[in-house]
Amino acid sequence: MRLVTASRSVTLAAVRRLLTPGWLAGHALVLASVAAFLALGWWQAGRAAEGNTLSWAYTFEWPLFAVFVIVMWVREMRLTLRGARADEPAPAVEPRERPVITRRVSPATAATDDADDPQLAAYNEYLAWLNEHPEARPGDYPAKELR
Amino acid sequence: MNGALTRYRVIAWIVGVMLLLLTLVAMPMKYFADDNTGVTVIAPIHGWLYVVYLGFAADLARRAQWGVKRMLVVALAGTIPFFSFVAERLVVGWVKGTDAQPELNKA
Repeated sequence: MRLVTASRSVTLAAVRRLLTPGWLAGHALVLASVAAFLALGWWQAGRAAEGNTLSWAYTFEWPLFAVFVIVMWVREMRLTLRGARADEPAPAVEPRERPVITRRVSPATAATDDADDPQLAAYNEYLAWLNEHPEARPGDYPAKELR
Repeated sequence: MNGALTRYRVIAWIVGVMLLLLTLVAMPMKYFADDNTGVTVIAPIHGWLYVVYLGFAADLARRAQWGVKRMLVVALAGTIPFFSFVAERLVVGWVKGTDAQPELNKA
């Protein structure tokens, strides 16, 4: 219930943001140019029907331009509401506190279960030896009886 | 981003050259020499290439997150002789300026 009211108020605020005088002028311009492009397409369709072959291309291109204008305008509205435009500053959004992420670090417990696995025990022995001899290279690891 | 920019630059040059051919060669042919062949051939090609130009420009605008004003400048520039070349330089500046990747090798 609480979620629904929250999202509704966000939508209302969003709609209000797109109703400023500047935006209204933009909406009007978009509607006017779409109407003009469709009219031009219709005019070219008439000319094409009268036998002007060149007009066939424009008959389809003008409506395409009208669609392009609508797509661009919708995109502009969505970008503005998301505040994600590269060429204009994003609207001020209260910075959210970053959550502090903590990870529990558990100490290594390998030594405890060496007994079940001779291979693992040997490997841990080898690692321990390497740790004791920081200058040594892996190839220097001596055989068991020499250690 | 680089691919979209290259696509846009290529189509901007093609459309620009086609528009110059249309206005500087085909139009005089039609109105001074009463010869329609140039316009008949070039006008439809230019028209559809302009549609492609708009498409590539929109793709670039989406990737670079431009607002509608930049898109409008770029779209209109494609319809005015010589201006698509100016727009092409402008667009390269926008993309290289705002979307430049940090140089990793810089000491």
